[in-house]
Amino acid sequence: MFRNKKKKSKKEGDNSLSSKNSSSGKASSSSSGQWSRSSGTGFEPSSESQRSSGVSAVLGGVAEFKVKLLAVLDSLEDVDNQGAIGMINTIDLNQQYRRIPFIAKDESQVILVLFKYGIKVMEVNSPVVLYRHPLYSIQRVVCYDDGLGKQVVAIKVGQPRKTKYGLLAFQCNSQDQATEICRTLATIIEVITTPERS
Amino acid sequence: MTSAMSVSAYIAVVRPKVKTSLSSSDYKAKWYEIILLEDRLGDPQRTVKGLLHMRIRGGEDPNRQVLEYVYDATKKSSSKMQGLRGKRAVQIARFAEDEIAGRDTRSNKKAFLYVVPVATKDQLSMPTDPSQPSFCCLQDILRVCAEGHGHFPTLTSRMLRTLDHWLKEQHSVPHAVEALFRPSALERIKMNVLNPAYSHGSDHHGDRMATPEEAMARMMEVEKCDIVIINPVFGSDLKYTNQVDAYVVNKFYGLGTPDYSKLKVPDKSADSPPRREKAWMEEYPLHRAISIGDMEKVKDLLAKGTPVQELDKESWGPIHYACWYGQLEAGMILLEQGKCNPNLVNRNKSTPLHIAAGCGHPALVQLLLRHPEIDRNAMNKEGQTPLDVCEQNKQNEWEHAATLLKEALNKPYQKIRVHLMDGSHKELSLISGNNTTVEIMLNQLNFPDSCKQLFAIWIASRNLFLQMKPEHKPLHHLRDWAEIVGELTDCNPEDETPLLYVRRDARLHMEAERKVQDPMAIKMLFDEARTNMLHGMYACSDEDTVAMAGIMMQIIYGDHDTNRHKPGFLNDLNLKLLLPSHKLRNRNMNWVEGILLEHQQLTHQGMKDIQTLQYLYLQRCWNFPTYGCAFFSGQIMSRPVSGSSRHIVSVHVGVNCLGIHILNAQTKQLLYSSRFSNLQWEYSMEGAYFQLRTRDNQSIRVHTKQAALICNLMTKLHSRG
Repeated sequence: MFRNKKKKSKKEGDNSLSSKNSSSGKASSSSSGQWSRSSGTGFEPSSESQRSSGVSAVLGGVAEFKVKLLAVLDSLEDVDNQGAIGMINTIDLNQQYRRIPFIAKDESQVILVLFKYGIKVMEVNSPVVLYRHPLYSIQRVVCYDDGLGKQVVAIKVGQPRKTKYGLLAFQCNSQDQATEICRTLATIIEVITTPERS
Repeated sequence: MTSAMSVSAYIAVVRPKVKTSLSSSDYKAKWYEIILLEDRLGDPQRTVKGLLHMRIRGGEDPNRQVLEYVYDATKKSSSKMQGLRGKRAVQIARFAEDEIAGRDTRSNKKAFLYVVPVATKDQLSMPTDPSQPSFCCLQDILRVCAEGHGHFPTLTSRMLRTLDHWLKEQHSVPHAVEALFRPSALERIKMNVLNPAYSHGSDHHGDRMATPEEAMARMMEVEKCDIVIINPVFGSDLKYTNQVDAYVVNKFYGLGTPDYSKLKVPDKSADSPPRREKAWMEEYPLHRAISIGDMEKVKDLLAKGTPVQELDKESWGPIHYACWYGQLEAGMILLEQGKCNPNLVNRNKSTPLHIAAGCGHPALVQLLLRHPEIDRNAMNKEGQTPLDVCEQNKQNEWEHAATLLKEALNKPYQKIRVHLMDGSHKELSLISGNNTTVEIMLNQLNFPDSCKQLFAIWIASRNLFLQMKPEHKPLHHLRDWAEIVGELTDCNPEDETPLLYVRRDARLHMEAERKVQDPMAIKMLFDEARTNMLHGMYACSDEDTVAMAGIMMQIIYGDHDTNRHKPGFLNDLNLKLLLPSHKLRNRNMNWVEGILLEHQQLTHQGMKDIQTLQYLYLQRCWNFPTYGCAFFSGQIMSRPVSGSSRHIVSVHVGVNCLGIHILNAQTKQLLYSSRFSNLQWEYSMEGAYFQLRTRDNQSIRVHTKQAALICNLMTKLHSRG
């Protein structure tokens, strides 16, 4: 009759990559009309002159990208803290060991949503959220050439002070799209984390 | 691979002779070259060729160690003293190292075989020293391997054959070989964004940048949500049901394509703005304030008169939430200030005690158990007591809660006083707190079986008497009495203090009563009849009055004593015990003389036994039309008498199993009496009256707020015959 109900609601943002949140709490705010799903590529690249307008864009909007989900790797051990090289090598080797494909399949198309709360990976044409990661858990974003003619964006996610981490890799349609994703996330992180100057 | 123990690694540095061969699905060993070096294996006379070999330290990235080793090992063979930069290290197989005879005697050691691809352009100068590594054609090497003759140690040849198979397999997979020889990660990075919260010291510089701690704090700030919606149903005992609440059938279904031009869609927008369903926290502010323990808000809401027992859509009241969340202070306020029912049930018939016990909150369990009206034996829909639920769920401090519940079971119950008609009273246990029913209480009175249907529990104050059904809960009625009085009378509820009585069941048939022989039952019926008699509720003749007063004399004072029982013996004071006060006012009648005469006759007849006398008294009462009536109050218009105008008369309306009787409340005169069989009645909902019509077309309208009760009772008694 009674289930294990704790006093406080479960903290949002379960960062385990294997967990599939079919809908997230944050997604509900989009129904209030505060957020609009735009089909464009979202944010303008941040430059010094656009800084102030960039802030409102970051705080008020979402950027969506149609990409292919190449890899979701979970519970990885960060041995030497190798940064970007380590991330790429990890993906390369997992390809070599056949754990993930060399080239993403057509049916693995997803919508990558970037906004001030972090990232969401959603199914195309459906409100189902496959993965959600809060902004603070995004450690590094790398855009690279996979050596087979495709551009890949890899996102490293994890918790502060934890050595285990996860990787999300997205195969992009073009070099432009890949750099756009990187830049957008860089802008969001920058705007959120930089002390405000009046 | 990264165990703390060091392990052996054999490294096959592989170089394609021509780049174009990489995309082919065929495999030819001659396309590849591999680095080998000579090894003496500790025997200066004998040299064999072998793979690069190293030991991998635990705790560090083995791939990086392999690449560094390859770089160092090939340095000397390079003309510019620059080693080969392997693109990556791919571990392809694992061997048991003790297979290498004489080399390492320790058993159970593992050896890994790594492939390190290098680019076609990576060259090594021809070695002057054969012990320096140099590229050899893989095909040639494999041929020598196949010939045997000990050119290679067993392990080396096994590794070479493994490599051969592996390469062949790679060629069968699209992109695999291309990917193997693709440029190193470093050469392929286009863009690299690091979250400043994860930058480590040296990466972080410049005054514009936040420190990692600041950056993390700012991002955590964003994580704080704007709106929190707690699912009130989460964890509740709601069962999933696939029954639909409502459905609409398309009445046009199957009728073919309609003519849409003739259909008109009603314009809803004109009627009302779209209604938004209120969120739980807006609709039930008290529930929410209780849940989160916002005491200021709770006090504020209670002061504003927010209903304290309102159930939300999930059928939970505020007290349930207090118990669920263990909000002790909130629970206290609800029970004390809000006068909340401690046994309030939800849809599942769970009481607050069930919930507090189930959630393991001993403080709340204690609070509830101390409440005088608590039902500690309450059962929920599944038939479980609070203790059952506590021991089943085992939440929080359930052991403590269970102990409290067990202790409480042995404590005596709260008592309630029930009055008998002779002025005495009995104390009955509230076995189920305020859920104790009339049935439970009657059982405690231990009537013999033959008398069980004789009596009922009544609740009565000065101007309102109501008989309760077996399933009624007297404590609820006592609590709500002011409201009930307000609804059913025009009296001031403050003047009406309710008490519980054991009285004759108004539905009792006269035939059944005549058969009663139990002395206790007769006494109780007699006490009630006497009280009614003295209140003038039996419209009886003066002769009957005198005769019954005589019986009372005999009962109270015993045998007639001519010396003692003289006319002066009866004064106004003791006459009140014998005669109804309205009769006493009639001074034309010599009451005293008549009573004494009657008394004398009874003594003469030898009537001494009190029970016989009581029965005698009752027998006379049975003849009165209003005997056994449930009395209500009302008003009628007086009949026009010549010379005087009609006026309003207050009346008692008595209903017994025979019919309806109307008494003047002042004079106790029987104004009207009729059997059900001669009568029609009609209840008017809006006017608070009912209309009586007899066969001879006589009509009386009785105005009373109790009209509905009266008509219901008449219908019930009449239908029973």
